[in-house]
Amino acid sequence: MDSKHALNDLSVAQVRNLRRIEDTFRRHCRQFGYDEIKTATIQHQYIFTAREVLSPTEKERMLDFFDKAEGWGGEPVVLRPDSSPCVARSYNERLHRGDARTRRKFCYVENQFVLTDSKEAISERWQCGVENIGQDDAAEAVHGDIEVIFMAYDIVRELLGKNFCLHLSYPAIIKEMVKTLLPGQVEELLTAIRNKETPRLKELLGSAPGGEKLLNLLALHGESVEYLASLKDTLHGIGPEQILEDFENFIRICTLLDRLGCSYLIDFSLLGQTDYYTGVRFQMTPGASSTGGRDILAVGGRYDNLIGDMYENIYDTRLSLSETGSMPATGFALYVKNICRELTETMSPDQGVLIYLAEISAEDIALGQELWQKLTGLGFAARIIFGPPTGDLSQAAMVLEVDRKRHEDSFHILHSRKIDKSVFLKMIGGS
Amino acid sequence: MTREIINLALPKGDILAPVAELLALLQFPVSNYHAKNRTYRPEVSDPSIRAKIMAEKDVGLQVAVGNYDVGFCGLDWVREHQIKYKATRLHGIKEDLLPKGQSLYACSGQGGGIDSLLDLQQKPGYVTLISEYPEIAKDFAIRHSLRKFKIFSAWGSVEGYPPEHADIVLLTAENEEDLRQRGLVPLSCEFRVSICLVVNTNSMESKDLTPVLRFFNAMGDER
Repeated sequence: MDSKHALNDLSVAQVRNLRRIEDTFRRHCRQFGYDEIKTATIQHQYIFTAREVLSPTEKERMLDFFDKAEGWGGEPVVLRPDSSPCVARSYNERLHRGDARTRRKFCYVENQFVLTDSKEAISERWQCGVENIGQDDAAEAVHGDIEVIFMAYDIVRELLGKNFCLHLSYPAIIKEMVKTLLPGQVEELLTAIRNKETPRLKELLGSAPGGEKLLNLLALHGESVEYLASLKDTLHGIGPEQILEDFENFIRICTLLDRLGCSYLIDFSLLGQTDYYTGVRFQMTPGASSTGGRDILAVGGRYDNLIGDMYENIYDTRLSLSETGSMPATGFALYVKNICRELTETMSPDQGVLIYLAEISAEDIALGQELWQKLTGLGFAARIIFGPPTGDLSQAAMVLEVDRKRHEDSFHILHSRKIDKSVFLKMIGGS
Repeated sequence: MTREIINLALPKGDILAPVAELLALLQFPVSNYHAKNRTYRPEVSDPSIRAKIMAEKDVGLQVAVGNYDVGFCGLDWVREHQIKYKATRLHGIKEDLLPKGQSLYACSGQGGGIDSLLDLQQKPGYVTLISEYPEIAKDFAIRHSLRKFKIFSAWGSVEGYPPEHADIVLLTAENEEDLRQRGLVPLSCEFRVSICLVVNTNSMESKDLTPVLRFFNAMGDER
């Protein structure tokens, strides 16, 4: 029987796919100017338990323990359950130390730890994520939103082709409506929305004036800017004016996504299990009908209050860099294991190029490494071997024997499915 | 389902007397269940039941890990265990079996400047909580969204810590007046502490526990 930790092991094929995802992710991050950071695995628990960070369900799933360095009980700490609050903490500490650069773009490749749904085992997940911090005005914020949505979309499209669905929602609109309609039952109503408890929602909202409009908003799905514009017209008089401004913002984002050729499905019921989103929220799944946690390929959105609120929590003073004390930010995370499940198997090294060193010498290994570099740069799965190749060589795309003393050009092609030596030399830039 | 031996955990300490009284009232077939029993092994005339006496705070853990199938302990220790071990096999099958005459309160110290939950939520710096129940204290801090908090466990007499060495203590008491007389400011009553009948959920599925549970069926609502 497998140990309960086996579910967190990554097989050779999974790691190969993980690297493929990381490589694609890092290339996109370089394109858009994101700097990579790593945050600590162990974090203060309070950064996750503050208001509007994690949903009650996610708080229950944290792996917490006491910091033994305190000697006597002490501060509860957790294994990082989510990376965005960790990046926010790290960023706040830089600000507090006097780093004047408020606009920062961070990316990370990190693992997170939570209890499984049954709470009987630990689930270790891997995420590649970005945090785009410090857009000053509404126009910049929309560009920030578009940038992260497009990046996530483009990465997933490159990895999986067109076989995925981008879902868009706007939790701030739903939260404002809930606060207006049922101020005394906000948490209960939000939990019912998150868990898609339709009968309970109808029961709670049925008697509330305007409740039907929220029920419609949660039930209807659309794929166009026109759909949003039509919905907006139905919402006059429910909640503060901010709701209509949020709708306008949502329409601007969708208009730009149309221009970028990114198709989407609008579904206001997707609030997610993190509570910090203040603007547009998005998630990607393998198909339009799947919205569950195990299927999610990527999640992201705007979180304008997380950094400022956390700064105040940590330092007992408001962030002085902005009038409101907040620091606008947006980001996303790719769910690596879920994407791995959808990826087709990459080329096995057995099917790639073998570089066999017939003579073990410093010169020959340097040449072998040089060949490896050129071949991998061309996209081949190459590897160096010391002993003679064994097994069925026809499974390999090519077998090179390196021996500076015996071979002209210092190497010889022992086996090749398609390419002769003259073509190969041209490919790698030789004579 | 097989008729196996049912292991019963009986508490010593404060709740020994009310539990022993209840067992006698229900004509549960146990004898020598009293504080002076130095073997910790009371006799049970039903051969399918084996009983042992242990510290009340250990009953929950011992039932949870399956060393015992059924036991009695206060709701405070059940909650402490359930918060710490979220997938626990410990289940309070009758959480209001007997009144304990106490509730669990969160209190600050008089003169410490924390007179309400709002004061606590707005307090700058770390909030220090001391309790015999560190997991309940942590849960309290999370539920009330305390900004930063540290938890320290104590063996008892926590009322002596605030306001100098703790902002908040969580402890059981008969009522708020009792707490005020001890120099404390009650901020919230977290729950009423009753004596519970607890079972191991695996045992519920694999063993016939009726030789024990049938005595309590008529008492209150099953949960």
